Amino acid sequence: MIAGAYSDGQSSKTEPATLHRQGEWVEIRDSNNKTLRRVALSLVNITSRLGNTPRSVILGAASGSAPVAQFETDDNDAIDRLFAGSGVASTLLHRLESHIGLIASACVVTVAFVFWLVVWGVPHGATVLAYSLPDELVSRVGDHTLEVLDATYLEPSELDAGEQQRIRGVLAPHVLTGPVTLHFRKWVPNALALPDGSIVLTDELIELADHDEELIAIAYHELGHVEHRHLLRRSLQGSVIAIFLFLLTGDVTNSDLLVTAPAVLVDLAYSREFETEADRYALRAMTQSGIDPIHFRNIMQKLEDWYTDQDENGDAMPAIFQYLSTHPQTEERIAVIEAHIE
Amino acid sequence: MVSPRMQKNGGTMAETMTDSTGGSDEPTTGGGTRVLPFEFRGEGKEYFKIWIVNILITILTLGIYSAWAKVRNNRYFYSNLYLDGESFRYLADPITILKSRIIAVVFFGVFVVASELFPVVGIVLAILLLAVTPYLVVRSLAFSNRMSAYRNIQFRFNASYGEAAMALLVWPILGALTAGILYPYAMLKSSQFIVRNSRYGSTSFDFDAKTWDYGLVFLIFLGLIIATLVVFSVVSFASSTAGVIVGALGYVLAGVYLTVMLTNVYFNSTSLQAHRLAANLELPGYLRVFVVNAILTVLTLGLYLPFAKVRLAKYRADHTQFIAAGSLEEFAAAEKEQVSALGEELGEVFDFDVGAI
Repeated sequence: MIAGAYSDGQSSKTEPATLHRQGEWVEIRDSNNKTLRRVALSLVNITSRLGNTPRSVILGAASGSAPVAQFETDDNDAIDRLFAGSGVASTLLHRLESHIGLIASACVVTVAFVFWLVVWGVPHGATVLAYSLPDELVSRVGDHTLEVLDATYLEPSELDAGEQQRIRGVLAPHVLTGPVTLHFRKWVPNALALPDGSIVLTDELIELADHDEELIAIAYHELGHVEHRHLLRRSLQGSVIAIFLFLLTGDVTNSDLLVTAPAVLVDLAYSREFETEADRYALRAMTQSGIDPIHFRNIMQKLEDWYTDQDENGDAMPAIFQYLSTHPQTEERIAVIEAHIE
Repeated sequence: MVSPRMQKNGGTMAETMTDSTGGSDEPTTGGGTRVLPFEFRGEGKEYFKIWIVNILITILTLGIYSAWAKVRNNRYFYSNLYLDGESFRYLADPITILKSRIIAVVFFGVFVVASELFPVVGIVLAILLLAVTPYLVVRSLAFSNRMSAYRNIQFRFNASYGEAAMALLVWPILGALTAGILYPYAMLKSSQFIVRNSRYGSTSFDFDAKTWDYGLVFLIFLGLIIATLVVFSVVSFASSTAGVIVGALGYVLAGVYLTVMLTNVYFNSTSLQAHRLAANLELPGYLRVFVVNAILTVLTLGLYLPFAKVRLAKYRADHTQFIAAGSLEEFAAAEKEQVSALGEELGEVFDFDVGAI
């Protein structure tokens, strides 16, 4: 006999009742020991044990469907004893959730798995996938990206046609091979690589460069993004991380920021990794073409100086902000370049 | 999509009720009404075990178990929420959720890849998604209400597409177009839409908030944001680091203020026949819960999350009451209806918050 409360599912009324099992039958009786309901065990469903929450003994229909009589009790142990072996009261998950060794292992496995996935699994999977897609598809991808950028950030270049032609000639032997195309635009000193192999140089960047070799260095860096299919890989990685986080936390409400912040931080870390990879590509390519890598260092320094000047008070950013950046710290990048030169 | 992200708490009537519970000592206010506190009996340690086992099995089954995990998580929060000695129930079947979740994840994958690789296709898809949003929100509310029960009576939700489109798209867009002047009214409309179309069994909820209730909250919220911007500019002049920190604190303060006040307005305006709901969340207390939760969750790389959820549920429960005008035993069940979980799952993946609280 188990004490609890009975409700018939027709109204919100509940009354104190007791549950009795008689072989293959379950009987609910009221406080006067009068039978309220008698149901075959095969039609009974009992919610699985979950912490200390009350259990529902659902009398006569599958769980989750419309009004149906039920008996509720806090006495989880009694339910487990009474229905042991009958297969209607599942305790497997509860036993797992009470097993201290399993809990400890779960913590370790979870942390290790997330770490493995973020550091190796996702980047590796995305790389394999990105390189197995046919060139044709990859180069057609993002056809409209430049149009979208033109409509938002970029303005038409004010560089005269002769100068554009000259720069094109300078870069041609180095980067303008295969599907790669060169575009001139006006914005801030910057260069962009788009998924379809377009490389965009801004007027401001060209103005900042004192030697053509500096532009070649930048173009090689962007070519590195194209050759390594970084944009495709980044969007693949972003999607996988988003889906993964949803699967783990899709049921966690009230914690928006706590769930989206890690995804953003991971995406930024991937972005910084790609920048480093593109830098390495540029250094290798410059060495092979016999161009002094010092030009790469110089243009990076000029870019850094230009952006520092824009920041009115020139206050150095605290270390924590490096994790919020799409690019590694310029000082670090310059240090890597200098190490390469030596 | 419908409301600012800070106010995510409580998509549905049942959900908001299960998000909360209350602790007031006085049992009656006279006149035959009883003040019944909500009470959340879950414990961080107990929930942590359930949560970590959920994650472990989800990983081992390559995500398939996530549907069962969702049911177990929800069951824990519903079943530990008590009102008048009885607890709430979450009834969803994991298989239903799994099916919807597979469709939703495929949809989401296509959407993300398409919009990142083909921006124009992405824009078209986003517009289409916007057009079906009211429908999905209605389905989502219908499912989650239907899967919530108290005293063996399920909650319900039913609304037309037109009504949903007005409350969830037209009014918020007008609010934005009028530089926020109509936004309090839009907020009122969306809460009203959710509450008035919700039922407990066959009994409808009612909502009697005034536009000014929201107007006042938004004016003070705006004041906090402006004050933050002013302090931010002044402090940034001295040090940009200190400026960023002050700015972030101001933003959190304003966001928590909005959550607290909107929750209070929402509950204090909701009634069920002669019964009423009441909430008295307070800024300092909620802020403390929020800040402690955020800091500990970050420091423990997320392992504190279950404790954080329990702490928040306890706080909300302790500041919400049900003012009963008579017996709670006379509500009748509604007739049968089948509701799929797809709306809810798509809603979760694409994150269209329903602007309740």
